[in-house]
Amino acid sequence: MFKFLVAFAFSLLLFVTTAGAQTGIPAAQQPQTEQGINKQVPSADKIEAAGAESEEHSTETHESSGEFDLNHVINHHLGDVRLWDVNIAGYNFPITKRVVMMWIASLLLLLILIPAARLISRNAIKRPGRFTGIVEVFVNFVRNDVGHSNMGHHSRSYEPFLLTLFFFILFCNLIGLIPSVGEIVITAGDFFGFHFNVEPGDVPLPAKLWSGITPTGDLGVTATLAIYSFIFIQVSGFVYQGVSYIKNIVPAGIPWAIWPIMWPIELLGQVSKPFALAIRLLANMTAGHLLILVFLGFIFQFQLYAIIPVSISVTIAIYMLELFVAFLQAYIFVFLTALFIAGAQHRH
Amino acid sequence: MELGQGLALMGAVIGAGLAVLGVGIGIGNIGRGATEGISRQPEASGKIQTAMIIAAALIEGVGLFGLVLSIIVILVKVK
Repeated sequence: MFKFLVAFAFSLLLFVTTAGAQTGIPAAQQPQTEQGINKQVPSADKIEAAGAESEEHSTETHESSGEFDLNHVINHHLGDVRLWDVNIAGYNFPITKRVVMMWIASLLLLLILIPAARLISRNAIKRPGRFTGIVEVFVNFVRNDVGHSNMGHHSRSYEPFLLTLFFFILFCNLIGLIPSVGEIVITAGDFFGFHFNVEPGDVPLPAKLWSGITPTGDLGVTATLAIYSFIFIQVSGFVYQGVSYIKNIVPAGIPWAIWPIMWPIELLGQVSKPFALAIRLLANMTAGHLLILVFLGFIFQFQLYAIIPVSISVTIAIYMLELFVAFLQAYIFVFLTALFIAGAQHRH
Repeated sequence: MELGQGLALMGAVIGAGLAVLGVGIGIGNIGRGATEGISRQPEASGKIQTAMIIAAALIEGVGLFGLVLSIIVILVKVK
């Protein structure tokens, strides 16, 4: 168990750096999409936390930014923003909101999983406590229900990868559901008369450090994860079947006459698997947050007291669904990766 | 808003609606199949539930492709 988790910690660093370099690309095309609106539009999650205060926020928004614009809110909550520009050897690696949130997610993983592994490995026979128990439940779940049920005894060498994928995606999904701590700090500072100095067009420091954005809601991140699984699938195919893997991607027993048609189709199928993985995770994480924003946006759009209970209760229901989806999508991603690896290991 | 933009909005939203329609039918079928399976074999309910959730998530993903496309059309193309 300890070996797994340490291997996991190392491969995590790899993930974060690569995913970070990927994330910078789309952000470069739309620099600074949210100039100045940062402090005016209240965080949707915050309102949910304090439903009774939402009328106050409503008037505040109305006064400060004039007309309510849902596009601004969606851009603010789902759009990526460059925070710092880092130049390495002439290449630009911008540190965006999502990169910072990924770092927070991986830091939390390191802080949670390595002590858990230490505790478990100190006395493996002991009955697990609350903290180690919950980690063991997840690790055993991924090992047995995802790895072993698909690949049998071959799953052992893939478990570090599957565990890394599962925990990283899970934490990235869950961290997007926590209201932005940075913006809460800013609002509290405004309330108590302490204002953070910002240059115009820039983001205040607490909002930079914890922007509360979902890292997996970006194609750069999900595509990076999917490319990792693609590499694992293809490499395991070649390792288990040798060069004949190229031939064996076509199911056995079909007449040789339709080989010229079937082989390109199967090749396309191999490429479309990681594509579907990436889009599925991205779409699921984006759609739920968008729904929450739209339903909370009703309050500001209609400016009615009667709509508040409706939209708050619907939002809480969707939030609960999102909690479930965060776990489900991490599971689905890992499960499909294991399924595809098992498919590549054995000829059809 | 011009006529073309309005038509584009309409197209995007109708597309999203059709995608959700298909997903609804699909997940409904899965739920029916799962309940039938569980009522015939209550001892296999755990396995059936797992398979049901996986299939439902796969279908939901396809529906979300459509939703994301229409959101992209609305946010990017119709300004």
